[in-house]
Amino acid sequence: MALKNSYAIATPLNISIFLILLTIVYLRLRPSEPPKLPQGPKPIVFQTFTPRTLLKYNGQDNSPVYLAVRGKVYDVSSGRNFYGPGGPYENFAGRDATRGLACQSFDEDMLTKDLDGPLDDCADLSPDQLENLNGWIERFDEKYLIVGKLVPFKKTDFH
Amino acid sequence: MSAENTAERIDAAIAEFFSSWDIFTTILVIVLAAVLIYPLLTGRDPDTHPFLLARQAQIARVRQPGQSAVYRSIDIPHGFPLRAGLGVKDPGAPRWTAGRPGDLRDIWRAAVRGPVKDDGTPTGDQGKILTILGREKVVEHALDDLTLGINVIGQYVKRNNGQSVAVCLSNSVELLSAIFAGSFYGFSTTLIPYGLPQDKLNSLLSKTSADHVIAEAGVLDLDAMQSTSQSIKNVIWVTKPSSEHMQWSANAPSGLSLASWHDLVQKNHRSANSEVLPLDKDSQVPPVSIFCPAANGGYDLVKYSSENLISGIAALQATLARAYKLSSSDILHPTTSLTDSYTLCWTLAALNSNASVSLNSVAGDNVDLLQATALSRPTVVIASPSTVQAYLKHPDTTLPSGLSKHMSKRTLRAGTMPAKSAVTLSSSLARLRVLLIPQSTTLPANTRLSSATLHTLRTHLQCRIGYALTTPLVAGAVAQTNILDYRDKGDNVCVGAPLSSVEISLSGDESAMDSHTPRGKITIKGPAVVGGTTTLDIEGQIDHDHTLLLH
Repeated sequence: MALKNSYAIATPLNISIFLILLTIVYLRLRPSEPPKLPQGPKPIVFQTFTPRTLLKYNGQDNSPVYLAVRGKVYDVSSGRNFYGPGGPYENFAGRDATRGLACQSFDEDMLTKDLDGPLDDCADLSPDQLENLNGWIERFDEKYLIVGKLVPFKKTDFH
Repeated sequence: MSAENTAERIDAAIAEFFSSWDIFTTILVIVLAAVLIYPLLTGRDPDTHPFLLARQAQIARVRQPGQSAVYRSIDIPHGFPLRAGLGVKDPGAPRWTAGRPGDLRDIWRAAVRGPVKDDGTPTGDQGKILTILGREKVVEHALDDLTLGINVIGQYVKRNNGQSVAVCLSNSVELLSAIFAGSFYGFSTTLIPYGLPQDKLNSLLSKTSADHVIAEAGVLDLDAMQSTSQSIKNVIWVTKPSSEHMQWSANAPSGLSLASWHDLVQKNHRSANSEVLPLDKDSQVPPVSIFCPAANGGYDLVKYSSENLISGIAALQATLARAYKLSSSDILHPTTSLTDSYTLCWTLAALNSNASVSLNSVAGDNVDLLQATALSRPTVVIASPSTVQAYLKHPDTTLPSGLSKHMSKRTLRAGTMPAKSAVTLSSSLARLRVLLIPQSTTLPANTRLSSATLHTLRTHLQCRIGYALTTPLVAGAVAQTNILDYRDKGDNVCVGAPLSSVEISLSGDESAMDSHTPRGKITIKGPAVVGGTTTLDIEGQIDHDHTLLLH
């Protein structure tokens, strides 16, 4: 009789409802992991560049695009279309762009030729050109990250 | 034909399947329905978005070699000034202006004005300051009476050409009044920890250049003090109500004038004196100096400018998210001494938010939490780590076990605060909603509370916890755990994300810095830091959620 009773409980209908119940209880009680955010990129290390070490950050082969203005090196990779290879400002990539920006000229002769010489101090600029330059610097500070500073190459005993 | 057959067969199968429906099936279905509906009725959204806990500080994108990137609170993006002001809006100022940074005087003004309605008119009620005397007596101070005290003492010190006032009082309204008197009447205050032995007290007094001393009646040996600190010319005794009949001002040593706070206030009781001085934007508020205990057992004099304190206060206030702000229904009870900048800043923040403050002269590192809070039933409590540890270890503290603990932990893991249990509700911590625990860098490492301990505390008291890293040279705190962060990090000591008044970076080996979890010495910068920048002796590590772990 008892056996018959237990059969009566364990009908396919009861068993399936019981299984559904178990599943829901399990899903409810299962400990949930707190959400994890993907890790961001590692911070860039602030570097000191000389004109020659800055040269390789010209955007070729997907390298970052850096340019220097008034001794500050900006990471302009997000403006690759302008400053990267093929862009209108591509001459500035990996170079000191101070004079070029001040004079609003993208010509080769705006760049300092001697990479091992002193930095262009731009002392001969007109007030208008200086104002133009300050406008550029303001925009760059707002828009791009400063990733280093540019210092002239200094000959040491090892050279 | 066959399609009809199939349909018939399916129909029959279903009919047979359900033909076994009996009383057990009905019970099962009811249980199933209950399990499905119960969370809909009782479920709550987590108190904060889990993503806000997964990334609690902002990281700068550039770092110096040998240092980690700079970490900041999520309120203040890099490139913007850190939180330095309270945003005080003067009456009549345009509604959408940012407000002045404010100084200590604005805090007292805000406290006396009381809470304001949306249109800026005061509602008419005020916060209170309660003094708890012993186990039974509570004295309620109206803020207007305290304004009288501030004005009278300020005028008295000014009349005597006072420039610097040393204050040696326990947690009391007179201590707060002395600080405000200094800010309104332009003399600097130096707070000396209460309860020091006589010779230590005299040696600290001699390090100040104070010309006035405000002290509890009888704690100073005037003859000894005169020989060690010649600059002191005036002593103001603060008498306990029980000893007011004694002639404290008599028998002054020559060259020293004695006065009693109580008598001064009684004598100058004029209605004009109980009005807060009008706004004066031109004068500077003098600094408040505090003798902070150093790790070597001595005391260092730290001079907090008004700007440091305001920045610390504003940042601490900002750690309470919008729905959890201090309001006029709150009572803050510090069980730590007001001669600690964290406690002082929170107390001033409470006054600024029109909350009530209850003060007990018994305050410090090892206080009985239940007894200290028994009379005021506070909603926000500041307790030192050793007080908390003593509370957890106390034989009368019954930590939850079994099912209730499991349920509390489950609720916490879901990101919501469990309801107060019957045990908590029957204790004096029934109304407690936030427990603030300052971990000073001058305390030994064995006093630190692990994340697991904080979790136990949360399941036990059902309150939110702010565990803060404090250091003498930073007003307020360096970092504090998010009060809505209920996660258990085990044995790690986590002090949360930097406050919005500071930014922190770590320094150490380049190999340890080039990591998502850099580890090294902690450097702090910001408007709350005395001198602008400081480096701690202790080592910290940034966790994956950008909170600070102590090692």
